Amino acid sequence: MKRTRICDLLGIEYPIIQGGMTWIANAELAAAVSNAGALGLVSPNAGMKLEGNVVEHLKGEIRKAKSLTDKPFGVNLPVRIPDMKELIDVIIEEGIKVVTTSAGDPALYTSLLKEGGGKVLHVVASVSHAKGAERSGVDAVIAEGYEAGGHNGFDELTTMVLVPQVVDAVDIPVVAAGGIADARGFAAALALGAEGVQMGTRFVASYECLAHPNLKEAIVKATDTGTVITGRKLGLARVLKGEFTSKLVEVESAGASPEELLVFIGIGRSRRGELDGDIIDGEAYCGAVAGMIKEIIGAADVVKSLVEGYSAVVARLQ
Amino acid sequence: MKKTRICQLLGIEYPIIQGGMTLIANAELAAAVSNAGGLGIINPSAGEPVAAKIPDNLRNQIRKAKRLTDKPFGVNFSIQLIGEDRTLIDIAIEEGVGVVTVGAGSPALHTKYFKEHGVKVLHVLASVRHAKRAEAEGVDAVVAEGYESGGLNSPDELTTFVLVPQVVDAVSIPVVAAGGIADARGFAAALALGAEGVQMGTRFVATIECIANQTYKDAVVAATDTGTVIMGRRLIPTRALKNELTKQVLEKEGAGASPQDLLSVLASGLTEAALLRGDVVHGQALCGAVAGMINEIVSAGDVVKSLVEGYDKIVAGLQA
Repeated sequence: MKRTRICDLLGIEYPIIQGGMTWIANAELAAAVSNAGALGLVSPNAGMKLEGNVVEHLKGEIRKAKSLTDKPFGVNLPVRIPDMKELIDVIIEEGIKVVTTSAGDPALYTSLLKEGGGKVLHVVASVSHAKGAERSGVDAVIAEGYEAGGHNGFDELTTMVLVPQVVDAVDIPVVAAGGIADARGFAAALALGAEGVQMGTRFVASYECLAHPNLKEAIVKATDTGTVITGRKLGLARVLKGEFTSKLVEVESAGASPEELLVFIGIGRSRRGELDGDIIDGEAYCGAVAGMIKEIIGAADVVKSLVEGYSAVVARLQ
Repeated sequence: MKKTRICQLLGIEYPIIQGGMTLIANAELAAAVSNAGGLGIINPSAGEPVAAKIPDNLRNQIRKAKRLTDKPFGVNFSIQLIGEDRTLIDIAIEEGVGVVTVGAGSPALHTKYFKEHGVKVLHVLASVRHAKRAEAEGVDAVVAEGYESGGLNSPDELTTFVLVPQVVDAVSIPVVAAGGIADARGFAAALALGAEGVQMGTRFVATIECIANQTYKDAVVAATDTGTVIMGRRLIPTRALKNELTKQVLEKEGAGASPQDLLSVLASGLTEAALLRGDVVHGQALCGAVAGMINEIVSAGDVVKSLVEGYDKIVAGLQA
């Protein structure tokens, strides 16, 4: 398939990025994706205990990934997590060349990361945020639609409408995220003007991902209507429908205050859902694309199916 | 560009359908779209909010469209509005309309009747389950309408990107993608997802031929990426331009208002106020999430042409 500016920017063969999911983007997954010619991402919290030392933990994950691949891989940093400066120090010391940043102001850390020699991709969910990220000097933006699992923008812009508008608004390359799980979505994203895709949920249901088998099975079983948006008053999050999330949605629509909701949700819900596999009382972040994921496969096979399928889809369009 | 099964089914050149928007899908618009090689659709209430006058209005609209084009065009029926009553359906059949799009209700009610009268039926839906049901009822094609679309929306909130491929996998009949499409990029993306055609509403609102009030068209053009919002999550989710009305409804919803409380704010006639009279501040200005991509009012024929011409360039770009 064709190369895009994202391939050149990141030094990868195919413009496919694996999402840096908070608790479950582990070294083995990232390395498998990178070995397949795409870009794997490690999350500082992958597999970590709630009270663990995130800086030491990240160092361990990076070193493990390095032992498993000699291809480029990156780290995802949600801008608002504590210990940001120390995490960036580790990233620079360990020679990581790509960082995706999300959920916060790109002006805060972009220059620091770039001084360390890395490329920065910032996750955005509206045109104004994309323009702000470009002004902050990021190398590319990841335009993440309403379909995406986990944290989501209040504006609810879907991949179909977000991506072309971001492409029109910035000069830097745009990666599409949200709602993509196969070659059709990959080709559609590039038709919209994106120069690459990022997928999270599709990679959760892979052998190498650290997610609990219960979560992987739940994704495979999910139908088209299997996810729901929670937290319209706190911060939107797309999750698998389950017992806890159904209760949460009920409490929300009865008019609960943000304070009441925070108490109701408590601490560590998503960790419980994703790592402990408690999909009844926990919360599992999951993209709206879950209904399209029918089996657990190797992360490399995910990449391969997109690349091989792409040419077939484009041929069909002629 | 390539022909799809939708072209063959409907006897049209390009697989592009104009949405049958309530109150504003008028004969001039439908004829212009059909003359350009797409499929224009008339809404029975085009320009006529008074229920008792809608049957005559539909007949007049169909006859006007027939004078303006010799190409096929269709009529849109909302099951929510007509229920089991076939008055309007019989008018369409008498006037020789060959295609209908049907939404907001069960395909079991009228599909068989349409087919007995030689009318092709496209059913509008928003989930895999509804698509399978429509196919089982014998419709000729489905319109898979994503969360991006203007007006009435499904509580399932499936977006075009995830809805279309799943519906394509679930049924054997052709699938038309709707919601979030306004240019050649969206057209090519929809076909990449497996659709065999697209339906666009909001893009056709901002055309010279559309009967919509000029102030409302201007508001669509002025809207940015964040210009629309879903309201009425506890009644029927409806996408409209953000304004004083949506603000008021969303505040009530956030405070846990009951459906009855919400209905007290959503008086009847609000849609007509916005679409026909141009009250885009206090009216219900139905609009798709794609509004931010629509930056000028053009002719309906040029909308079709820009999609068709752009399509080949995009597909060529995907290969390079």
